[in-house]
Amino acid sequence: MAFNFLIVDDSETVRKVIAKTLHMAGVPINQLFEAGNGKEALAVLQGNWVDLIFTDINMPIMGGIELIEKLCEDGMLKTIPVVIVSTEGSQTRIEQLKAKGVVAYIRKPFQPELIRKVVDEFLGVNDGNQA
Amino acid sequence: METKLEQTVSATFCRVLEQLAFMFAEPAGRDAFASQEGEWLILSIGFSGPLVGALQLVVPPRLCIALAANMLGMDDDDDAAGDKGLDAMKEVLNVTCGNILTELAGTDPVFTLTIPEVKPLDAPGWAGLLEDGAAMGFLIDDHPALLRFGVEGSIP
Repeated sequence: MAFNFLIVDDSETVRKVIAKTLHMAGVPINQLFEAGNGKEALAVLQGNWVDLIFTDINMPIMGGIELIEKLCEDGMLKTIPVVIVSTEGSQTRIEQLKAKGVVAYIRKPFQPELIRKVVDEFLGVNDGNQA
Repeated sequence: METKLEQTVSATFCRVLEQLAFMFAEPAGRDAFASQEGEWLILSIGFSGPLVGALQLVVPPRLCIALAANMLGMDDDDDAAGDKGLDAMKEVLNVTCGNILTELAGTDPVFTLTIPEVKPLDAPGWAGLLEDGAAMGFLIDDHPALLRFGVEGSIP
């Protein structure tokens, strides 16, 4: 089984680094979507199913927190696991986001293995679901 | 002699560069910049919360390209690296700022960061920064850079 991912970050470089990390980690990928902010992410989600979302917090137009709040308002979208990949270091804010359904938090700069670990944990890649 | 704040800023910047881009920065004295001429960019990010201020980074454009190439695993002369140079340097500034704030204030406070901005720095601006005692000099894989962490008031 291969998965669809959405990477939301205003830095195209970071999006490419996360995508490259997923490929290099051998994660089974069906489709890889990218968005430069929360608004673009919601547009992607209107027409595509995604198994896991990686999102930054600090972005122009619509940041990661507003994106997560929008996802929470939608009965279907709120079931998608959301992983924060951010420079955010506040445990207070991280706990607030976890209360809104965020499943994991990866702090920048991150070790590539963390991306694989999170995918393994929340999509069960190592549980016999690999393509 | 470096203050504790300078040590924190310097160590965090070097760690972020190494982990994000596999690039190595070393502190450099003002004499390393005396003969530096040419085009410079100044990147800025503001922060607010228990501490209020801004982090500024001054770099030559060629360092931005080298940074993007390192982050993406490309050659410096790859057109794609050239296109993403500023984007990559803004990300370094963003990550450095967030990590400095955590080092200084701990993990309880919530900070809001602005979106990083970049603009050309003219010769007088560069000369002014060289004379600014708060600006710290670095050589990043032999490319010069200046970093300035400015904060309003005192740090508890």
